[in-house]
Amino acid sequence: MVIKDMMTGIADEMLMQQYAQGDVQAFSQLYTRHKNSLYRYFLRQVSTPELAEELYQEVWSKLIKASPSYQVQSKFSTWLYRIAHNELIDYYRRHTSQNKVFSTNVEQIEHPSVVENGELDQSGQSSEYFLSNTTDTAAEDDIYATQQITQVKWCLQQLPREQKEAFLLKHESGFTVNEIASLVGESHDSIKSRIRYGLNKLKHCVMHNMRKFYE
Amino acid sequence: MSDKLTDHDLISLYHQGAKEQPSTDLNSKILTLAEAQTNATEQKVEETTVATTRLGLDKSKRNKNSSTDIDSRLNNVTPFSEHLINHNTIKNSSTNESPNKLPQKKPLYKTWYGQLSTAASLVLVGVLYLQNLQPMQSIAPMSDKTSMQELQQIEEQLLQRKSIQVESEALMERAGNKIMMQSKRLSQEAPQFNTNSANNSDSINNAKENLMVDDSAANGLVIDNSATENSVADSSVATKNQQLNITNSLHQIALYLDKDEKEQADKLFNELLTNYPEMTKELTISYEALLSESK
Repeated sequence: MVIKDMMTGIADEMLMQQYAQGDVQAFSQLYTRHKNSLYRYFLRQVSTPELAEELYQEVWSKLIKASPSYQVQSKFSTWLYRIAHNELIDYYRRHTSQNKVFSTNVEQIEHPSVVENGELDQSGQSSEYFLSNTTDTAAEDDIYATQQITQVKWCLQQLPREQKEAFLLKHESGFTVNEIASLVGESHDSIKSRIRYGLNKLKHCVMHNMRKFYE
Repeated sequence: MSDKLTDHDLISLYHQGAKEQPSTDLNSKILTLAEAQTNATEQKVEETTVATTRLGLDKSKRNKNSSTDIDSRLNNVTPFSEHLINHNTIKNSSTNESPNKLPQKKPLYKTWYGQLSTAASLVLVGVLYLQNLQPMQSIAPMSDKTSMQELQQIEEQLLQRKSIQVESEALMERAGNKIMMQSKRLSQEAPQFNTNSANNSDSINNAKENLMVDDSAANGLVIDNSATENSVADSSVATKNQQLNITNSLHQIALYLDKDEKEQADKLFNELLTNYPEMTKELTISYEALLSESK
């Protein structure tokens, strides 16, 4: 696994170097590898998909501009997410209203609205409720799973910004605790506790909402 | 439905739900951006390489000044450079025309006006040098000569003064000695003149005192002379000359009186009185003393 990761890491850097020498295909390959996780990194941390796209595009644009002077000093993914982290920090600074820390009192968290495809509406509003109309058991299990997923996403959005970012970097982008600590400039223990607290809150939130939903 | 939810379950649920992807438009936009960046970088490299190649060609042209050489060099451009030149990014006409715009000027020193101006400058410099050479030669030695002459004059003056001083000292000494000897002889050889001897000795003493005064005055003059500046030196020299003349004349008078040529002695004495009326008293005393000695 480690060897595979290293190989992937080396491959990333090699691809970036090839792109720096003018190989667009190398960049395409690199982009395909990292586009989804990076996109979701932003999508989970900002209010709207449009804003997530804007930040996402800005990060790639910066990376492309910096490519001629690229030198292998760290993992490519670390470099990419450091740019993303800085971009996000800048965004929070620009829009301080967005930088609020959500309340962790799950008792106060309202039940999320659910839309047809099981996705949470970004505005938190939903026009259609269909769960009460379902009677089939198999369908009920599916609905339950979908509801859990929806709850995870919703609860994740309610987490404090630092815990949310740590969770995403670990479980979405696959960084180790040390890598995250280096990336965001915090201590190893701090990141570890952020992830732990984040997971506990997330778990508590999901279970609470699911229980509430079936009551 | 289980009441327990493990970390693994939670993460699994997250991954099940994490299916969002950036839109196709966004992907194509970013890939286009990446391609544009690559093209821009390539173009920069291309322009740099082409510019370097052209500079090299221009340099060779300047050095050899031969169109055939340039043509041969153009034909020898490396395949990589040709590839760069033929690349689509530099297909615009301005870039293709740019070789004609390269600086192909002849060096200034090779043109007729350049050579002419150089020659004119050299001639001008030569003329200016020759014009200034003579005054420079005449001015510098003149100043040296003047200073040397001044030094020589000062040295001569100093030597003159020294010789005058030595001569006057010698004459004064001789005159003094002679008077002393004569007075001694007279006082020893003429006892019959004892009555007059006191007067004579007085007069002799007076004469000696006068002479000593004169001598001391002369010495003082010498001291003063050595101490004073050049402007004062002239007056002291005149005084010395006067003293010397008087001493010489008195000496001559003494000689005349020794030879019993009183007329000559009187004549010389009168001349002395005429020449130095301010010293009449002193001269009279000295003359009387000499007269008494000669008797």
